[in-house]
Amino acid sequence: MILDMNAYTGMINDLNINIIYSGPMWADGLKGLAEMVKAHLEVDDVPGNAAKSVFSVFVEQVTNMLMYSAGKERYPQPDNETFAVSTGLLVLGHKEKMYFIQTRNAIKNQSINLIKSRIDHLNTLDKKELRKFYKEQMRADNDNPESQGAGLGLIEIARRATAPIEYKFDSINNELSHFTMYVEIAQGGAE
Amino acid sequence: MSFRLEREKTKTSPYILIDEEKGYIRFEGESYLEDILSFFREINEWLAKYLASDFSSLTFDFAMEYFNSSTTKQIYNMLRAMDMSAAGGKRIIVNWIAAGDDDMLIECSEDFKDEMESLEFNLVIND
Repeated sequence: MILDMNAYTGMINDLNINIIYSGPMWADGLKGLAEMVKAHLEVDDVPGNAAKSVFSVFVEQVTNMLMYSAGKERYPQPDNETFAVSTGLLVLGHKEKMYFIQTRNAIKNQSINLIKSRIDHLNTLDKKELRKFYKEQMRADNDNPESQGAGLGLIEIARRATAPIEYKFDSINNELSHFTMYVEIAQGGAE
Repeated sequence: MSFRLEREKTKTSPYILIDEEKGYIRFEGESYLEDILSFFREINEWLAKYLASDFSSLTFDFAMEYFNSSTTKQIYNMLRAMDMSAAGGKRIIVNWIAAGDDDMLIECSEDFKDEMESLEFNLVIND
């Protein structure tokens, strides 16, 4: 039976969405999604620096989802490695010359305060201060193997964003919440 | 036998050339692979050994177009190790090759250069 997708395509048009992905996220799957985002930016003729900013935010947001998603399932592999699959939602769109990327993934409730305080802090910094903070974090030794970039990813997102990072938490149950993050990147950079 | 490593680039990992005999390293392409630590393990192991050896010079041509934040951390650690070796009197040259209109890459090169005290760090504009 043919599905009636009109309500769905109508919503996608109304919200200016170009790419929407909902489902499992794993490292190799990122490659396909990244190719699609690149192709889209090329077709749209986005100038080099803006395209790179959008791509960079996309990569860091997806990486955060892959690494920190609480809904992650691990599958043991023959070579002693584990294959981790997170579940998430990613939306990329643009309104005239402003691109946006929104992601959603499950996190543990105990992480809410940390995420909130990190983003709130980044939102108070201007571009110069963010650049300085990025350098400090790059220099800082980090022994936590789970955090390969020492929180650099989130700072990188804030550096490329041209408006404060928006976010919200929606409770799923006692343990988990959905974490939604929205980032805008305007062509031509920050005001 | 001197060490030689050549890795073809993929969509998410860079072209790598290490030619110990010539004291030469080249990175090219993009890097946003998930398991960055294992990708750099062999490179870092070689670099530590080489820097501790009695070598005459090392040239690092860095011609990458895009790399994510976890790669940035790896590159920084490599450069810092090289800089410490340069402080000990070794000749180490880093050529950071970027397109003239690539603001992100040029800004990043300035930040890395600021952190280095002893090695020779050149920004090479390649249009």
